[in-house]
Amino acid sequence: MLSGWFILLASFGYIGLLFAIAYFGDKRADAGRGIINNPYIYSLSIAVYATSWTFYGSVGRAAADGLIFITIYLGPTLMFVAWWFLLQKILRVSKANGITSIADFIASRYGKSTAIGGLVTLIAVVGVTPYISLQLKALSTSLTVLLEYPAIVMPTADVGEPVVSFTAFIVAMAMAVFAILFGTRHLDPSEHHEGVVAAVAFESIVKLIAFVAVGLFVTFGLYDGFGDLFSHAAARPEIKKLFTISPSSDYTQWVTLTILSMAAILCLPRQFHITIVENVGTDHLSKAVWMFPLYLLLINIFVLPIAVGGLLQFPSGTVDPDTFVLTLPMSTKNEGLALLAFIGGLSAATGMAIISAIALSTMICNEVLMPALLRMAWLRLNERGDLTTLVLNLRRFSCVFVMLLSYGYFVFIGESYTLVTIGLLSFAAAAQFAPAMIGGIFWKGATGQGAFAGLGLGFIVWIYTLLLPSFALSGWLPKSFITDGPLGIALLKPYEFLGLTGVDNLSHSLFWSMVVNIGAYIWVSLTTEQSAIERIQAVLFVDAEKYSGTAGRANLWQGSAGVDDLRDLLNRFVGPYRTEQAFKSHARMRGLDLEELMAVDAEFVGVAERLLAGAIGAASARVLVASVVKGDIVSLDEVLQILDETSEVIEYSHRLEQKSHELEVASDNLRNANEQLKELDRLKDDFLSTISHELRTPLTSIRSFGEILFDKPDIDISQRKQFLSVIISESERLTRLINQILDLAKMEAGSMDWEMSEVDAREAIEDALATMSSLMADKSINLDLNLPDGLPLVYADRDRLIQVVVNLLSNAVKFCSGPEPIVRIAAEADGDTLVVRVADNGPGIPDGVGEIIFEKFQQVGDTLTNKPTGTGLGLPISRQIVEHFGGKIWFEKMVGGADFRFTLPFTRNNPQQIQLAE
Amino acid sequence: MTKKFTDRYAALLILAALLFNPPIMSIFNSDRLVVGVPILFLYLFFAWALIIGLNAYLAHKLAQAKAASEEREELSDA
Repeated sequence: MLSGWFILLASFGYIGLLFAIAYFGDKRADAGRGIINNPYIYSLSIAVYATSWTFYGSVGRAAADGLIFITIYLGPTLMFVAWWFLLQKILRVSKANGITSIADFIASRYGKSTAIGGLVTLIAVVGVTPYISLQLKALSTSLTVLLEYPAIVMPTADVGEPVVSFTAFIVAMAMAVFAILFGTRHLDPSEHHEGVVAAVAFESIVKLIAFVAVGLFVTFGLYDGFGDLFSHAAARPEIKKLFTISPSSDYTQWVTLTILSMAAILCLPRQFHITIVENVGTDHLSKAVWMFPLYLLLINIFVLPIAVGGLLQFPSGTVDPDTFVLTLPMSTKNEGLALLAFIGGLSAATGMAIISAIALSTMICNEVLMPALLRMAWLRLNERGDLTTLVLNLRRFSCVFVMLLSYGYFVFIGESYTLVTIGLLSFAAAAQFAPAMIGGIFWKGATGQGAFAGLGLGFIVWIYTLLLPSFALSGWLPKSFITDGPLGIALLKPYEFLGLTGVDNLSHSLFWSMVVNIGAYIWVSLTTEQSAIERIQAVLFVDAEKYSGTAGRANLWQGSAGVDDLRDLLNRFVGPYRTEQAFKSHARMRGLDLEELMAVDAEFVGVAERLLAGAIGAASARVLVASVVKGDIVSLDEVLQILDETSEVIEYSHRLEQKSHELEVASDNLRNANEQLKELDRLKDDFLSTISHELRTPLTSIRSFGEILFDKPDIDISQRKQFLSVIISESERLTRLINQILDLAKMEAGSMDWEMSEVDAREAIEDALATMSSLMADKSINLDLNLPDGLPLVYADRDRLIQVVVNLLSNAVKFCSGPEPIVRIAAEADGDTLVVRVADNGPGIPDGVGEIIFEKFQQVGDTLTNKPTGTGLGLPISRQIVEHFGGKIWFEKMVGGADFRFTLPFTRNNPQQIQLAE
Repeated sequence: MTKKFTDRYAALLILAALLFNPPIMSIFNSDRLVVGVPILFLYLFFAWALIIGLNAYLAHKLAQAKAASEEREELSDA
């Protein structure tokens, strides 16, 4: 099944599928129903980070050095944990400024400088080309190996069979065509390529499935799970050492590689492109920051198992570990799995190549070719008609150029190097962008000259310490260049510069290039002045939050431009449709009439410039707009003033919003307070009407009996006595009522005079009993008294305590109406309180009465038919008193009688609480 | 809200930087097998999964906080 033609058919079938997906993605986007607008596709597309280097090279690295391969994926994880501080800001700044590439980002920050844009592009092309050729190498190696099936033969040092290098060439060109078809379809000011992103996300799924499938096959097919595999490996000392990291040398490398890969995920042109430029929703980032690391984790789980499995299966040195993913399934004649592994590697390689080609071609076109062409006055480019085609053709040309360059590198030099070494070369080049990028969004003082110096010198050191030695290793330069240094000067040896030894080549290069890069960046920035436009851009980038939404006002343009000039300019680059759309929406927003407008102001020009910058980059856009605007560049102070005014207005409206929110809260509070007051007012009315009713009842009877006595002087003496006794008892009731009302009022107002002291509760209860004894004797009530000796003292007002007991007793006596009336009084200690119980065997308290009987003027029983026998204030007063003492009062549910209880805290246990209660 | 998440992400970053650096790693840098798997391999993936999990948890909290603040804005608009 694995014949040559079938493999080629499968490969091109797969690439055809990619074209179909991209086509479908673009169609959906055109119809306004984009399929990439979700965090999952976004996360998968970022996984373009995992190239054939991951797919084949990680295993090779693991087989040689053990677990250190994992640093390449821990770095991005760390950077994505730090997204809140870095990526988020870069994304925000890029969206606000219509950034099209990493070169555009850095150039924009440092005054839309063509020179810096060009330099970044140069570094990117020189640095990334080896990386793309690495993909071609991986592709050709894997194809060569697969074509030898069923034999397992390693490719020789040269490029191999013509059919293989030809296939690599065809694939390279297919990728260029793909990038051209879907990456340069039209000039889009937002620089979104939905079809490409969809295809890359699909490739991420394919390579993950393929790799995990091989991993599962090795771990559970060839061996009996992880334990079996690793225990076999542990028996071989040379494999067992892969389980650890050698502390002497590898820790330095560990840190170096982690830092390098952190920089790479931020600075590699394709990662910047896919993460920042192709981002369609800023919210997606907060999900991608964990989904993408999760993807990396999943694809890395089986790297070590596959490496170990390969080392165990093949005799040492016969099979290149870089090919284990492919050769392991081949060795056991698993043809389907071998083909899947090959397709997985193909997807890893093509995804990277496509995005890199698009990112690099955008940079080459926007930062190098367009500015150069625009400066050539004799071309009269400004006066030509539609330039969209020109720009697109420049990009197409750049795509082909990048792929050809990569193919050239692959053919001439790539074969002598392992995958990982080439990839790290690119990482180190991309890391040169990090200081200018990170410094650019946090340090306002960084100048364009500083950035240029840092980038340039760092790049030169990178060439000297990594790129040139790699040429020497490939035989392009004499080997003595590495061993003896150029012209035999030992201090200049590229791997031991200035005598720095003891670290690996990569750490060595990273150290020197970063020292020079950051050093020059800071030193030159401190010693040079920013131009006006640099300072404005610095403010816009560093204070992105403050000026969000005001970018349109931060224009350097003064004076005006003719509408028609401006429209012509834009028409040529972004087409009439988008131009009219942008003009109309801006005019509508500002209430301008586009028909009558002859010349537009600075703000309008700014909008046009940003639209243009989105299509062809900030540097080119600036040159172009300058050609149609009449008038001078505004002074820096003026621009900063405009910026500040705008941000002040925003700040002011923000404060206003806050104030109105506070007001709302205040008025809510007022409304609540008003409700409470109304409720209190109603309660007071209720209280007054109840009280007057209660007072009127005894008064009425006193008055009517008095009138009878007055009107009938001849009434007989016994009846007169009876009437008078009613008058007396009613007057007593009235007095009691008034006293109780006064007490309650005092207590509620807090103006009661309490005479708190240590009181013997038993004595107080006995005193209360004494006052009630005659009444109880009248009703012949039995008393069941249970007052143990030696109860601790309670802290209370003695008279008030007696009042509580009397209240409860009189209630009990009042309701004790059965044939054998009995009242029980008991006191006992319960923890740190004294519980006093007064119970009777009367009718008891009806169900559902609850707490209500402790409220004022609430009497149990039917008040309409029964004559009230109390004032209705006894229990409320008792409650006030008991609570003042720090206790509580309640009644227990009981059949046949009422059972009231109250507690009093003992003095010795809780003096503090008592003091507080006072 | 921003301040709170700045603190949280800073703490997570410090934790991640600590877990993946030589001092802590050297504790597990031995060729012993734990449950049949090299201990350093086990440690690295476990720590990695932990960091991803915490990051996901923060992302979840962030989405909640954003939704809540948007709701507040809508309420105050209404």
